[in-house]
Amino acid sequence: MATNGGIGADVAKASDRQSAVRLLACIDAAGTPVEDGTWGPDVVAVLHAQSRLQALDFWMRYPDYLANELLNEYEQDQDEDLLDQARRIFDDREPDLRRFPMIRYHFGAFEPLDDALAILRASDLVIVRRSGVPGQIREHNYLLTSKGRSSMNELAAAAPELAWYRERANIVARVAGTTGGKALKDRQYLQREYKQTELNRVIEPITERVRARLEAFLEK
Amino acid sequence: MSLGWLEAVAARAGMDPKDAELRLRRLGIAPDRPSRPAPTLTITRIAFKGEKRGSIEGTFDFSWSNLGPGVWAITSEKNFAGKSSVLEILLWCLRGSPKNLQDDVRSWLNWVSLEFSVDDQQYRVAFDLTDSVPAGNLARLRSDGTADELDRFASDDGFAAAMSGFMMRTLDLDPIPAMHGADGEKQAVEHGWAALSGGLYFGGEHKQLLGDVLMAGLPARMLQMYIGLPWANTRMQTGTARKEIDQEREHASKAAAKSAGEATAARERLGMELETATKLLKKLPTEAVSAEQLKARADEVAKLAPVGTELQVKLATAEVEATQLRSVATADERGLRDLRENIVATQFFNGLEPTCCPRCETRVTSARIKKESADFSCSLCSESIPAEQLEDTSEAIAEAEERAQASRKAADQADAFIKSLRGQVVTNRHALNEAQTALDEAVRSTAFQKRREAELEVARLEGALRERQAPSVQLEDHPDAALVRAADEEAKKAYDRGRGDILDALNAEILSLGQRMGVQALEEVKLNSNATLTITKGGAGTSFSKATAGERLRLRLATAIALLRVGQVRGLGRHPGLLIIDSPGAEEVSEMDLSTLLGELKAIAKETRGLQLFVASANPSIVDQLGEEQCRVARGNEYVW
Repeated sequence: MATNGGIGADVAKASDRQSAVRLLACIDAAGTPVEDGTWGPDVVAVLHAQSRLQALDFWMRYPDYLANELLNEYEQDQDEDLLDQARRIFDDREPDLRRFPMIRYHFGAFEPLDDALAILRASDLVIVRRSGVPGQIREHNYLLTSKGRSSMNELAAAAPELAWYRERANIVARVAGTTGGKALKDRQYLQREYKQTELNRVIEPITERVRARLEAFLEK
Repeated sequence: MSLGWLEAVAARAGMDPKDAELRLRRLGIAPDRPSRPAPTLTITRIAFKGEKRGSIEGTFDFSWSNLGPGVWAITSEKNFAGKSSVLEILLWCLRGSPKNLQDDVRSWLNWVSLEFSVDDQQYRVAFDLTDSVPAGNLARLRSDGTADELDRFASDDGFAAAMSGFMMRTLDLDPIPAMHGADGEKQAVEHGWAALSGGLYFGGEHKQLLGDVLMAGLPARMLQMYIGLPWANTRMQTGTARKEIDQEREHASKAAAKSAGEATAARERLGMELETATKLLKKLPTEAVSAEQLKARADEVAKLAPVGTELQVKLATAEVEATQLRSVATADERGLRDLRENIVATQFFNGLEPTCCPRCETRVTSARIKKESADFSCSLCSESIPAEQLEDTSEAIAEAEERAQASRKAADQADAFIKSLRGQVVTNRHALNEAQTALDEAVRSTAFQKRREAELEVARLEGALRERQAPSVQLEDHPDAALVRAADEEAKKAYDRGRGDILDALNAEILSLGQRMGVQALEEVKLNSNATLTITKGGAGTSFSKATAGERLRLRLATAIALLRVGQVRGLGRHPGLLIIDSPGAEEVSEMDLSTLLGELKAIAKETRGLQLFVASANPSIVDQLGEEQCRVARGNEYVW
């Protein structure tokens, strides 16, 4: 079942192509624009660090956690758009329909991205540049090509389901801001359910708690 | 043949004489004792020693022996010479307690002895005094002078008890029963020697014919006792017992009357309350909820309750099913969405020409690309691209859509079913509540309840009233009341019968003695059994209490001596024949009168067996009348002792 996160349960898994779309959307939305050709002639944006990409991906895959972040912001800013975005996540039953569980490793939520990235790399949509030397990789840099950006737009135009990725990635990117991967992970750790998930287990959803929180705000 | 007294009493009380006798004895009632002559008390010697202190000092040792019947006098030319003290010491010895002995005289004494005879038997009471406390004994004296101690004492109370017991026994006197105290709270008491000895003493103001204890009824009883009127004592005993029982009964009847009054008040109150409660009950509707109605309402509850349970079970089952269906629908929806995303993405990604190997980033050659479109050989890995991958995907989407639609419909239907079930549950619950309430109301409808309460109240009040109407407890007679009444009646009868002409004989004797003793113009005396003496003097009727003090003294003496003389003639009476007269001169108009009185008393004593008189007088001229040997005289400033 979709909401069952136990080991051996029928955990919903995204296909490589879905993951490729999701990652492309993340890199497109959260990447830092590049204008001076530092990373190559066709590179338009760069996203530093795999940990950051994994952290962004976590919010892409756990709509309830993202909604919780939106409510945190709303609590601070009282921006009704934030409340509206959170409400829509629940209205669209995203926690049921859009959640793709991740496993918790000792450095947080993680999923090997190689296969999905290969799809993006094969057509020159995203280029992965590692810094450091082989065996001691310091950082992965995800370079978005202009073809990658135009592809994202084409995908979004091809189907509303895929357009969702681009819009969601924009929200995630805004929530994450310029915060680095480690700090984002720490923020995600603040949720008891995340933090208390045993290693190598699927991270538990916080749907009902966030729904109650949302309803409390809506009633005010 | 007439019945004996005890037989008559027993017959009157309806019991056998033996039982009656026992019970009367317990009540202190005894049949009259046969008439018997009175023992004669005669003083034979009085002696005392001591030491005077104060204004006069010196030891004294008084002794007056060889006394016997007749008139004996103590006299002095001046007052306060010890005359009265001799009489008082004599009285103290006889009574066991001093009468009017002055405290200073008592404190001077250290030894006292009185010898006396009762009929032919000699006795002696003698005691030492330490700090005025007597310690000594009472003894019977043999003719050879040997003393046999009868009793001993070492205190005032012990002395009094010893003499009282001895005198009552030896002089054969009966204690006088009486009721004493305020009305309604009288106690039965007995007057013993201390009161009876008053019959021997003639001093003071002579207020009473006999004795000196001022107590209602006592002089009369003393008189009756000393006269020895047959049945007088029994009558006193029955009278006292009767009064005691009557008083008890009166108390009980007062208490009963009080409680009866309270019961009457309670009955009235309860009656009014009952009337009110009965009225209320009558006003209440009699038709209670019918059994049919009750049954219908109970049936309704019984019908609805299991329906509710059934609905709850159905609802729970439906909820489980709905949850499962919703999960399936969600999964189907996800599946459809995944399918669409994958198809679109795959078409997009497949539509892109590979430019480099994602692994080694080697650029893909145009030859490889051509080969792929011609041979379905992957331009990256040269594997053949499976044909089905390019198949029309619309069929798969249609199928997934259909499935998602079906499962969503099923889930929606399940939800709708739940909604309907919930509605039914609510409806059932309301209906059940209503039915239960209706049933409850039927069971304890206010009218029903009120009627029940009113019935209970009426029943309670009726019960309380019945309890109060139980006949008030009949006053229980004292178990011996009938017996005492019978004894009293019979004692009165016997007394009236036995009294006969004794009083007439006494009156004649008193009149004669009174006249001899110089009561002027005394024509008639009439002694009543209540110890009042009416007299006719100089043609006019008067009474003892209105006579002069001198006349009263003479009448008292005449009465006492008459008791003795009549008693001796008839073999009855109880006066022991000893008269102690203190200061008769005080009442005398002239010395001549006293002298005459004593002369006459001397003559009377001579003709009256066992009569002994002691006179204390401040008139030495009486010595001429009585003779020196009969007197102790203090001449001039001398003291008697």
